[in-house]
Amino acid sequence: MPFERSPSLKDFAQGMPPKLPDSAWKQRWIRLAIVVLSLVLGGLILLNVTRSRVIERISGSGTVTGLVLDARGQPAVAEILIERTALVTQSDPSGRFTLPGVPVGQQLLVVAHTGVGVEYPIVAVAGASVDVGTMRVETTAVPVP
Amino acid sequence: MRQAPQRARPGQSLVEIGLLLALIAAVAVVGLGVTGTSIRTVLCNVGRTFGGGGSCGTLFSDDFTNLKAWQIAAGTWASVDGVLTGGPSEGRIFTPLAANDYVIDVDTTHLAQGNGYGVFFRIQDFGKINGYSFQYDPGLGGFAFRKWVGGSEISAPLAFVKAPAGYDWYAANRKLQLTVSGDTFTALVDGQAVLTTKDSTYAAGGMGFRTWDSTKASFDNLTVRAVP
Repeated sequence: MPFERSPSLKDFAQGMPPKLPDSAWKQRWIRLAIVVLSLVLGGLILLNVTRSRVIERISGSGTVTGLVLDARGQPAVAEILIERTALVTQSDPSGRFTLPGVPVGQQLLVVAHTGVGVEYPIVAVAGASVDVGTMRVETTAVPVP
Repeated sequence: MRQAPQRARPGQSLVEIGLLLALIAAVAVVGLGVTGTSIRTVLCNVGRTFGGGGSCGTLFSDDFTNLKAWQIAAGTWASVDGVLTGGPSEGRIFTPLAANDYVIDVDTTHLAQGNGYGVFFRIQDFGKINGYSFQYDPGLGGFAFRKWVGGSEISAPLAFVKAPAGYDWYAANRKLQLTVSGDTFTALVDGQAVLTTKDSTYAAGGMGFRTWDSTKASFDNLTVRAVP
């Protein structure tokens, strides 16, 4: 402490000065609140990320192949889409298709023909090609019986 | 040895107070997002509490004196004497909405001819549509919720219910209400719940109307409001 700031006898003329309130407890509570809120915010952000498709993208992608037939069992040219992605391809005249870049995990594949689509649940595997087998086009939208 | 007089400790730094306030705001915003609550609605209600005017609930309304707010994606649509008319043939008309959850009220709907009409909701991409439709569908004999992917209608409806025997599809005007909240969709016709279903594929998007084949339909007094 510099000499100029050291206490003098005049400071004690009225006896010991009253003890100042300890403001450190306020500082401690505010810092504790900052830590707790940071943890809560981290948890909420983690929850948001797991509910989004970010995890799927990070996990990688695979390839899906298959065969599309019409109601008569003949090869059909149809559009193949993966729901909630921009992935789309078309089956060739032999009915075969290959769709790379499908996010890993459970997906819904749609076979679409003349404005009507059929959903097929599939599972894409990272770095692998999965054959989803034979799928059929629909030409009319029909109710569930 | 006498104790030196105690000096006041330094107060909380502005940085720490600022950080605390920022964290409170961030937790509130992210928390509202996780619960699916609209921040816009919350802020609007707060504003109204402090004397702001207007209605927070109404997101969009149209009495169809013109079609300036609408994008015609297919078919024939017109404003006739303040009523939206569509058909015949495949027709789709859309308007964007700045909300995920909403209630669509159409005070007057009328099917003059054909196999039915649809009301689109949560539609993304008005060209190759992804989203949903509710269908007033005498062609199927009932009411249906359908999903659309890449411009194609999924063949099996999300939900379907047969209309009561003798249901008058054509003579009467119908009042239609669709509630789109989270993953749950509910349709009321003339105030009666007819169908409800759940699907979580699409979380947001605009609304619209649909006709198909020989359908001629009309719609009037549309209001879209936030889910209470």
